[in-house]
Amino acid sequence: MKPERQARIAELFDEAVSSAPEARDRFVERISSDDPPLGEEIRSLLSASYAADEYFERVAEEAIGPALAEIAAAGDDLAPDELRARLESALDATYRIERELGGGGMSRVFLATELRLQRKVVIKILPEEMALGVSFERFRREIQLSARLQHSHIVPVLATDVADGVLYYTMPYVAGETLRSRIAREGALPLADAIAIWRDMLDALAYAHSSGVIHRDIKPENVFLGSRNALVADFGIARAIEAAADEVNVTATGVTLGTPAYMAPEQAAGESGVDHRIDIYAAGLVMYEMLAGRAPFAGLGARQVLVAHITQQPPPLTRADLPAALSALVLRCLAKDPAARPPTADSILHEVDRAVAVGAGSGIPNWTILAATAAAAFFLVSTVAIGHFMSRQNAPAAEGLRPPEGRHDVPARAPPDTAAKRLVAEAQEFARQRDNKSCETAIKFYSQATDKDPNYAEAWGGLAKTRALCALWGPGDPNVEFAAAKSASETALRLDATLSGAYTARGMVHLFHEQDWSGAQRDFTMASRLDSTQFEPWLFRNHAYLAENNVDSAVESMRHAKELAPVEPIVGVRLATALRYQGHTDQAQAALAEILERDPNNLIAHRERFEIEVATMPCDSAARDIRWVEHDDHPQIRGIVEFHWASCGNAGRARRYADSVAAQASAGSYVDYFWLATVYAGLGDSANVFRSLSKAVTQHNSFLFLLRHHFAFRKYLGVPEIREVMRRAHLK
Amino acid sequence: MSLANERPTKETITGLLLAAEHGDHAALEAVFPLVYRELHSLARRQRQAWHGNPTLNTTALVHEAYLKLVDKDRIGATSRAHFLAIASKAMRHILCNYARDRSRKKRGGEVQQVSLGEIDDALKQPAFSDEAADTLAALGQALERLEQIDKRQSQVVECRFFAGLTVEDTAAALNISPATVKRDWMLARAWLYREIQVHGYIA
Repeated sequence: MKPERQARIAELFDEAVSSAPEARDRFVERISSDDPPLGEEIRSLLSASYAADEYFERVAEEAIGPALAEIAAAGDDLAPDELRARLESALDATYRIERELGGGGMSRVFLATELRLQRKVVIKILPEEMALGVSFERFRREIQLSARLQHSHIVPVLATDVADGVLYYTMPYVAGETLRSRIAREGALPLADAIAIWRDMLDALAYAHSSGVIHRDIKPENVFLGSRNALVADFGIARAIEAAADEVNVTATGVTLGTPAYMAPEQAAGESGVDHRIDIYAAGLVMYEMLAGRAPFAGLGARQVLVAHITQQPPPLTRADLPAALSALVLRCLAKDPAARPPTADSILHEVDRAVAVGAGSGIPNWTILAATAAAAFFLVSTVAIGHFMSRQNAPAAEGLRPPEGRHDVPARAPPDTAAKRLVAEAQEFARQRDNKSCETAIKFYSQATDKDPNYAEAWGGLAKTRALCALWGPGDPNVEFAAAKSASETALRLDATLSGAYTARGMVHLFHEQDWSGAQRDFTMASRLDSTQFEPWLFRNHAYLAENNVDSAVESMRHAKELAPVEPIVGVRLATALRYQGHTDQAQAALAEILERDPNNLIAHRERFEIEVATMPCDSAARDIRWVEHDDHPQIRGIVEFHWASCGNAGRARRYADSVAAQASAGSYVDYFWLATVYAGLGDSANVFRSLSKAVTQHNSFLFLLRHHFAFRKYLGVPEIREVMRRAHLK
Repeated sequence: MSLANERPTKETITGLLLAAEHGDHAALEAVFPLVYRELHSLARRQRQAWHGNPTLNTTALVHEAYLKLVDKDRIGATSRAHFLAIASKAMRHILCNYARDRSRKKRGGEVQQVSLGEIDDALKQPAFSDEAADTLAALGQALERLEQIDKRQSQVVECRFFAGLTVEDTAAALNISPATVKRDWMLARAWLYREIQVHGYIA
């Protein structure tokens, strides 16, 4: 592009952004009439600039800060050549360094020849920073224990020493590759190979555990694929480093404790007193990865993975050739609660035998049953739920799924504390009323119940659902409320993976906070399947369908909800809303009339009727129901009321309201940008509509699912700025 | 870098900045790799958690590098401005190169290790997700294109966004007026955003 034109663009753009919003459109029009491409360029830059602010803020927050933190975490190690030179000169008499093997993470790995015996060995170097902090004596003592391990599936430790400040240990060189590089090359492995490798790993673990050694860092990088079998390396190294660092009290300064991607929940949570079951969890992860071709939480950063291990269920394994019993076994190894995992590596080996035998022996392969279940969308939800289901309902019949024996037995759940039960009953009463006062009271009662009995799943589930509802209606910051709701729902599901309400609650978080429509659908499907008498999963699924722009299914869902709860006001009202979006205003009115006949003062019915009036009728008719809503301060209601005034002759009032909300935002208060955008839409202030909606996406606004359907935005739907907002909000 | 290396670097950089002030423009080019290396090393040695305003952290780094690498008793305002511009550019390249490399590593393949201190922070600190790495890498690419079209605008982005310099410091560093900084900053952001949307993220 020619520099003069570039300068001209800069000049016109500057003039456009500095002019008042009303004048801006005319200004660009004028440019366009003289020079259409130039006008288009300015227009497109202007529309980009609305979103650019937010975008750069987001990049700074999500990328710059975290990137710096990660660069800092990588540490200031020695330059590679420097380290190698030091190592070579220090080991000169004993080893000849041949080449560097691909080191994982912080440690570096070299292939060398041990001169005296003329054999190939692998030398692993601990990061310099770590070597400075650990007590070598303690390290050597700790490693002695694992150096005693002798087993055909274990790579032994040969020697350890410090040379010129470099702490290293050696092990035999295994010709072949690591499991990591095989998975990287091939993705998912053939079933027979995965089973064979897993068996070898489990065999090694069973032996090591019986010798009192926990590996603590099982991962594909530590599994070597020899010509005939698989071998596990680095037994006890993690423990030795930790212990040696403890002795000199530098644990917090950067000593490796494990690998986030393969850390058991209790390890990730930093619990003390972890046992061999962390290896069982990690072995389950490695098998999962061999079967799926990717780790269950692949694609997350180190910290997010840690959190995922604690809070998230892995996606189900969906291979057609995988026997159901084997899939269930792998997922049981991944149980969050160590007591719910198979108790020993040996017991897993036995179950593998049985699972494979059953898969091969029965006339009907197990996977056909599995596939049928998956088709019913049942399997798609929590994999642990399935494990639970089976162990609860079929335990006596299904040998392989019986809870482990001995002291690792899953304790039978005690009946809830009676006081806690009473509190939950109280809370449920308040939760039904659906306004912000009662939902706060309900939260109070539910929290008291969980305090009294922390294992009371129903209390956690109720708490989760109510928190999610409060986030929609309450005065607090929705981000905080939804995070609390999500965590309560996860707790409930850990305690009882068959609890319908907990899935509903989690689905609400997906729907109202994460804009994860398919995740929401999955949870609501599970919720209604687990308890087909509940209307709520259908009520919220209706919203998810609206997000997916499937209005017909939204109406269907509401009709189903109405069958389940014919007199529940919210059901009738949302049926009316869905019918309105479908274009059937008359049917919507009829549904509302039915509610108002029963209860002439029903507030939510009047609100919905007001919306119909604003959306479809001339200004004076719209005023019919306004007295029901005009004193309501909820941003959603104010949004519609001010939209009405903006388009019905009182723009000044609407503008003042919008300005006051904007002022609250600059004072740092939480502001609902979606409903603010409706006011700007009423005022015809498109620049602020775009800006507010863009911010609504950034704040994960709960009502984004309405964007395509809300009458305020109808005239903007085809505009590129709105298309961009919809793309960012995952709206079709 | 060990302590023994610090003094020569400070001497060298101060000397080169002075040479540039006296008309030797090639001297500035020699400063860049030195500043890049030192800044990178400083970033890698930060042990505190990066809470709060992310650009404040990059600003802190740039100023730390300034104190460490420049003998401020010997240089004047011009050299300080030169240094800030160079350090901003280095900051940009450190971050964008890092994001590009992270983005290229295939997901799940690369293992990272964490320490106990980090685990404590795990629930509080935002992670550098693959998505964020992609985003920053894409911004880096778009910025390279902008650099070809309008070098000054790309420098404004380096100073304002990557080094978190104030409008006034940016104006001094680039020898332009504060009003121009503001204008360039506004237009460059819109241009970059559009460029990224149009060309998408790198795979």
